Amino acid sequence: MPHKLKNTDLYIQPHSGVTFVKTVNLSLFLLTSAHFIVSAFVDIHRVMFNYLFSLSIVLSLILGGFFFTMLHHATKSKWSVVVRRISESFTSLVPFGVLLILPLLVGIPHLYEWSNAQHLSHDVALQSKSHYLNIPFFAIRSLSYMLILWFLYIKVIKPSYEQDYTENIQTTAHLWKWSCIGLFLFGLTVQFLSFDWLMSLSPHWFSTIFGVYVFSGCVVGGLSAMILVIALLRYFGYMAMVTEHHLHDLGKLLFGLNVFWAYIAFSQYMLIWYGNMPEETVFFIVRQTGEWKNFSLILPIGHFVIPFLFLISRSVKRNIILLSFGAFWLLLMHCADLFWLIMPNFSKEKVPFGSLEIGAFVWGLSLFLFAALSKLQKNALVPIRDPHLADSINFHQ
Amino acid sequence: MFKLKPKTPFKQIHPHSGIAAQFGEPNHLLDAVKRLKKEGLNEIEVFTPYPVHGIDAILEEKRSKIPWVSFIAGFVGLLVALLMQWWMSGVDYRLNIGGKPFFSGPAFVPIMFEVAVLFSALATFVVVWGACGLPKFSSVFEKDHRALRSTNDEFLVYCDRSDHRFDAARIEEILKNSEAFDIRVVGEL
Repeated sequence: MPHKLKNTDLYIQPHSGVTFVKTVNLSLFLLTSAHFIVSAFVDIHRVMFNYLFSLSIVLSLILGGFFFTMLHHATKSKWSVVVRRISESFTSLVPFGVLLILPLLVGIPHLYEWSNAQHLSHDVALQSKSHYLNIPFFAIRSLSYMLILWFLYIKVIKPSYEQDYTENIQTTAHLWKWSCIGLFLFGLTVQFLSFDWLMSLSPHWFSTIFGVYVFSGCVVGGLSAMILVIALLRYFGYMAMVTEHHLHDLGKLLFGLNVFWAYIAFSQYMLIWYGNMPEETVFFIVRQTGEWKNFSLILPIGHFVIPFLFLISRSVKRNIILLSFGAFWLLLMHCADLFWLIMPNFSKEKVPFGSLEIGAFVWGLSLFLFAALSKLQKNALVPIRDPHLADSINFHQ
Repeated sequence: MFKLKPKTPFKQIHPHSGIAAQFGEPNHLLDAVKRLKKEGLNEIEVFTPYPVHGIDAILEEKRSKIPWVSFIAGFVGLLVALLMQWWMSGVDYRLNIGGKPFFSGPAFVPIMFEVAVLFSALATFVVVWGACGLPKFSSVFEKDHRALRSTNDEFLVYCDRSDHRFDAARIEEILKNSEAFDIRVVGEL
């Protein structure tokens, strides 16, 4: 039964509840930003680590949105056309990417051991890595990741929005071509980005699978956020064309990629555990001592076992309330995963948990949600000139 | 004429006979099945070259229980592999491997995963065969070559005479009214 699309379904109305949610998120963002700035005078070290944590949340969801969009184009998918604007809206912060990483570049001396010349002078292992891990090269790399993402944004996100007005069918072929190239660039970017920003926090440690681990977390987080944004829009009466069939497919992707995350996480753990070499085990030893020991247990149980058993059922994936509960849980777990990757480098014994950590969490999610909803409000909620839109609306399993 | 017969539990394995009809369009098929259902017929089989949307709801097909078998078999496989390795490495034949504990979980996980997959796959295979009544040595369509078209470009509806509401004349009338062709009696009489 083809839906009759009305203009009021396609565009978020200015006086809808979405505007209220945006305002709340903007206020939360400004409040936590102020908290960051004030705290920076007290404990700049801790603020920098928390900033890296919140930046990782925002960036991982951006990357998740990028991945879904490019995967959609590269595989010429039809079912996902109606949800594509959601994942596209996630990337709306990319033009501000350079601004977002400026505090990170300022904070290099507080975050990264390898940047400390005094420390470097009696550490032979770090001296041999200093050709790669030095401040100018790190800054150049960090900026170039943002420029690559910006380039991808221009090539695979912008034309899709322009197609609404130009009605040019060639755009679809253009998006396909650049998504295939883009996925390649994206893979390299995620790999090196996670090496530089997260893995070099403990510069002696190395793991070649680390980039894949971060990538799988990004996709889980991105898909969870997509489902939650859809649920939010549905609550305010939009996105009626997203049926249980679309939700089922999104749920299956979320379930599958969460299992993929567990597979990668366990592969990394088991090889390091088996090899038992000091330069590799240091990563897990820090996370298995003191208070981090209990925190580490959250990941296998909360990020894998519970969502695995919860999302395995077909009826859960087809019910928007249950599915968004699962997505909310996994988004929390994704943030806990990032926290677990970053924070042990700040405090080895105790799990730091205070207003600053909660603030960092809120900062990341509120900035992200504000940006995504703003982008969604400016354009049609579905790509109205996409040649496969009708296929997607009438999608049936 | 057909006689009323009690419902036989192995009707799929030992089919008797009934009325079959061909359709050229899936919506004609849906229409006919809807009407047959309205008559109170329950022993309806439908053969289509591809999944026809909405047919499950009309036939009142319940969700398959096979996923539960796969899940439980997988879980049993997980436990069996754990138990097996606990016995082998932890109790019966202890070997010192890299100074690790005899019972060390991380090393067991890959095998637990593999055995879970194996159990799950084998159990699903066997249960699917059972549910489909395979191997099938006889069929009502054995001598009916027209039925083969339902794997290509036609749709087939079959009403078994074991149905207690089976009325050949009425069924024929319904099928004719919903643009069926080649309405025929199939199977042994």
